[in-house]
Amino acid sequence: MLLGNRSSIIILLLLLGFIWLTAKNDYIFTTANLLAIKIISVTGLNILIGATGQVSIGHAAFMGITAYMSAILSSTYSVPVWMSCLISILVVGIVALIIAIPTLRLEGNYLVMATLGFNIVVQIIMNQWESVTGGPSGFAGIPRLSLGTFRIENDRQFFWVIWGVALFLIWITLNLENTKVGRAFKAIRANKVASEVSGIAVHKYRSVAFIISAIYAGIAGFFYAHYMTFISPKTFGILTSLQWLTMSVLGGMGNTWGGILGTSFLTVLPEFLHKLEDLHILFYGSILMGMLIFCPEGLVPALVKLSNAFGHGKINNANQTINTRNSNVIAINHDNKRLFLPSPKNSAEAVIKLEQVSLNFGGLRVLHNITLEFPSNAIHAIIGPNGAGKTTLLNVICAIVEANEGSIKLLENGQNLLLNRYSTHLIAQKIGRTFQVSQIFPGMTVLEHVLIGMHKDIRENLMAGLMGLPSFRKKVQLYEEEALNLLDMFGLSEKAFIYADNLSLFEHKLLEMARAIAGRPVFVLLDEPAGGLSSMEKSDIGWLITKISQSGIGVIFIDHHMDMVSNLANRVVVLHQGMVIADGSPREISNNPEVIGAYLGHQKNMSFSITHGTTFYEQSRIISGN
Amino acid sequence: MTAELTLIPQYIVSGITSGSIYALIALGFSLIYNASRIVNFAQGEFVMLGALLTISFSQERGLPLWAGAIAAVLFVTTVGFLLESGPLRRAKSKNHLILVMLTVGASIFIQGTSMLIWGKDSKTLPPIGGYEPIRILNASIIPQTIFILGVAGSFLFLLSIFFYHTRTGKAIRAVAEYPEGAALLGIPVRHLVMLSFGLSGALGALAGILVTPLTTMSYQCGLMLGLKGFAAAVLGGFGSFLGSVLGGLTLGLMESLGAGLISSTYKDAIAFIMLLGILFCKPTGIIGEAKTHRV
Repeated sequence: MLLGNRSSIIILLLLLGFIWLTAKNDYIFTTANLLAIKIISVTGLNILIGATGQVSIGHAAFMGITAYMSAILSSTYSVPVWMSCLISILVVGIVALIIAIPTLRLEGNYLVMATLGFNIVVQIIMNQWESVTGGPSGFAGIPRLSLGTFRIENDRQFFWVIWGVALFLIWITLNLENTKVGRAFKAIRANKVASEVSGIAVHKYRSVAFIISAIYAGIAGFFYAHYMTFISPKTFGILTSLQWLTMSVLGGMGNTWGGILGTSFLTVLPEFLHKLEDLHILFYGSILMGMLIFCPEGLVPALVKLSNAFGHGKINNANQTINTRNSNVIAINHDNKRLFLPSPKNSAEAVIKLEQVSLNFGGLRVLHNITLEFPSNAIHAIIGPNGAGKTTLLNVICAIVEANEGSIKLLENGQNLLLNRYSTHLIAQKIGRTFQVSQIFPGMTVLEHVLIGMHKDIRENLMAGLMGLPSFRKKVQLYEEEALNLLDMFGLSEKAFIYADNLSLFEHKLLEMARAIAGRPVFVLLDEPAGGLSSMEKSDIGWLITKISQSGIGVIFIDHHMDMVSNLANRVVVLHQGMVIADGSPREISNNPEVIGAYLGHQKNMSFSITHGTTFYEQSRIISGN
Repeated sequence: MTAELTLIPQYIVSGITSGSIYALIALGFSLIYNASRIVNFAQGEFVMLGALLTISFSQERGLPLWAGAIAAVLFVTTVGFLLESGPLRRAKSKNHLILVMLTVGASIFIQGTSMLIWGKDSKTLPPIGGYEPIRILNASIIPQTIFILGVAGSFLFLLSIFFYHTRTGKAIRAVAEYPEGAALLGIPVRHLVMLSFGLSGALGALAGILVTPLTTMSYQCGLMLGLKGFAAAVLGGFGSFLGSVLGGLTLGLMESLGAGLISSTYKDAIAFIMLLGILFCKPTGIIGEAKTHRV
């Protein structure tokens, strides 16, 4: 950041004080008050975008629901204002929950569609249910707010109330980014699958983000109603939702300060250009299109990037102690490295048990009747030609793909740890996973990756975190220390505060493994951990796999490097066309004629393969144990 | 028989009429979605532009109605081309969400421009065959309705021939199925994507021209029509051509029967309640099927 959050808040406060002292007419206060209301909504919208990577074109409906509910309760039914505030915000939360649960389960544009439809329905109800809402002509006579006996009568008095609320919400939102919830939001947006296999309940977090953002819009609606004392359906249409979205896009989607800047800009600028009235819609359309075409990341992130390019920026202002740590980054030093491995919660013998597992994709049989046991005290390798179903087998074990038939259990002391809770993130808490193509979180630091891996074990006081209390910061440092120790073992501690996008392939593989074991799983499944690496790097990976296994975590890995397989694995499972064709020690496997047949074709074709393909030749040499 | 029930044929006719308009708009959505996986939120603006341009050409520039309509359709086709080859292709980020939001931006942009050009008032076109209703069974229909059904029906027929019996049409379907594969086979994917935008501009414009004599048109109307076409597309199964037609007709019928038999106050809400319902219960739509994807 160009400026820290604290200094930015102080600048904002100074600006408000300046307005308070110099503004001569109430018009300026009205504008500033409405600005605060919009900032609250846009901040909420940014939480949603930041957490899900999806947008809503319906948040004005949430604003409208609280505005109308609170107005109707407090004037028609004479409910005390603050009471009606609570009720209406509760209602908005529930409505948001009802929308969130079915829609956020789906990928793609469904959230946009559902929120858009929702906004239109809500606006139609506001217009048509005249007996209650007053219809298109609006609802007047809403009581003003009062704090105790002090009634907030004019714009100047309201100014500090609404900006107090806005600043409080901004402060909370900024602090949220440093909590485990905020980190999970970021991870989900960056890479959904990787979040899930790191044990994050993606759907739950997305729904929570949606509800929080709806509540922000609801808070804005409540203050709007009791400040204006008159509301009409026009205010809460999709055009308003779109304006908020434009503000968010302008400043930088998902960026809190960006939202504040974008909102201020788009609110204040039209005030200066009074003749803009007719150009209003075109103005928003042009800004939205222009930004999306030329600067899709938004103003604030673009500015930050620019300032970093000129050398003013720090990548991260957190824990400075790391910079003094010296460790060998280039390759892992096997001998000098202080070993830090999280030990599994108990050392009891665990076993993954597959019974008659079958899987079809349409007519294609991918896994057929697989019955296997993987005890955790060994290193298991799965090999087989391309398309044999190796990755699919791992996917089935960690429930990324659901098997059509059969059962998969993770038994510890005879008890099934997976039970019936058949969802990826719950399984991920017991079984870590890496991918053939490394699944990292772009835009997150190396350290954050490990903290995401530790997600379920991190116990922190969310309230203290939201308030930004020092005690919280201390607690977080403990976890960061733990994560750094783990990174140290993987030779990555030097790069802890670098964005993972900037790492090499080898480092990505290391980081993924570190993330997978950070959550102290019972097992890790490694999909081609050494794929595409040099032989030096391969031996580092091999060393790490041995260490992981020694610490009591069961290892199942897929690989094509036969030398690595025979050096590391205690046991090799060979898959071919979705079936287990061999299962035994590396030596047994390498002499198995069926395995040689599966890799090279049967005897007849063998000479052809050997003469025409060096890779085949190499493999046959390795397989025959030479 | 109660009075309401005797009106059912009337409701059905008007339901099919507006349904065929929705079907045309929904087809536009599906076309673009299939070619580019983008939900084009500016589809409704094509509808509005088609109608308002025809009004300008025929009433202010003195062209005959048919010539004005053809000119408007061509114009909006060009707008479709430009939307794709301009903003969407030039965008720095090819992130899917950014592109979809770009179409939202384009939609607001077109609305804003249209307000400057045509003002805020509603305008209309004269119905084909005049205002004198024809009676069929219990329904009284103005000739425009028959005209709409005829034109929409024949265009749907022509489109099905285009998609299933011409090289270009088959190529578009191939791109929809598997763009990378199509590109490898030498199908000019980029051109077909552009063509899809143009074609869906034309379909939108046509829908707008047909519907205007019944409903009138202003710069804001595109949004609502677009969204209903969108609801129809989702209802039928987004991206499916047959689904778009079925979705459109279903939506039109539900709307007209719902408004007639239950309450006309919430007529406009019906489409969106159905949209929410289908998203919650069966997001793949009436005839859509779930797609699996590889990790």
